[in-house]
Amino acid sequence: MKTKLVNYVKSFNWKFLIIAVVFCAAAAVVNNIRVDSSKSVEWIGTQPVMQKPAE
Amino acid sequence: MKKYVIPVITLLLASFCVAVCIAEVSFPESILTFTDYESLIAKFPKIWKYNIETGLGALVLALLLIIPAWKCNRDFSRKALETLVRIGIGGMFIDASIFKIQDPFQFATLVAQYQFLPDFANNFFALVYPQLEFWFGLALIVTPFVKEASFAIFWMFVSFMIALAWALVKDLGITCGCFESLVGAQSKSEAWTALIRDLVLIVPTFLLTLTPDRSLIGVWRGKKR
Repeated sequence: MKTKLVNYVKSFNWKFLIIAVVFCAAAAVVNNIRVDSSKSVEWIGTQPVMQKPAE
Repeated sequence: MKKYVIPVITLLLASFCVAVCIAEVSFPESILTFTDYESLIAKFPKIWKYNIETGLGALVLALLLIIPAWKCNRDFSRKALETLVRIGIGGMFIDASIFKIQDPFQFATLVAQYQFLPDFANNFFALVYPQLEFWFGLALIVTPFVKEASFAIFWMFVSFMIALAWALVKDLGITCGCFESLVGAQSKSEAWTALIRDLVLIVPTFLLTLTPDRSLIGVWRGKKR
């Protein structure tokens, strides 16, 4: 079971996964600069939490 | 010829049923919009409440339709199912990411409503996550790296499910916000339906992580990358 799991994990192309994640982070930075200032956000921080509507 | 006609017809019908399931679970009243909406609502005022039952019924029907196709031509059905699942899930992720990429502010506001991540991380998460959805969705369709893309998508589904479960447990009363822009906090029934949808979709995604890496053309040629 353990060997199967190790083989399964080893079968992944980790290089592709890491490059893709780094590329996505770079694309996110470019996108935040590209969009209109009203739609962009600060890199670090959060947005206000809205009030829960009474159902 | 018969070897291909039956699987093609049944698999197309099964795809339609899965699409109905996802649409009905994600957007209640999807089916009603294709019917005589006014008269149906007049006769059965609470019919819209049965969207989960309709969706799951469509899913069961889809699974039943796959059986004859599988029995008739196993090899063809396997290839067709892999193609349909890759295009379906990949396309869904691309579609879901578009509005988030176009409007990071709205998505960041939605992420903040979950009150799950530490405050400093919300905005950066809201910026990166839609990119992961888009590029891994695209990779699932157009690249041979099906195993890796589906592995990433599988963990994204897990994260959605954790977030939705969190929203339900904490009674945050917010919607999933997977496909539409934030209109503020909404009914928590939508979080339930999104959770069911994710449970339905995570199974084929996991199965894709077990398949060998190959492009969609490679699937039909039966070759490895």
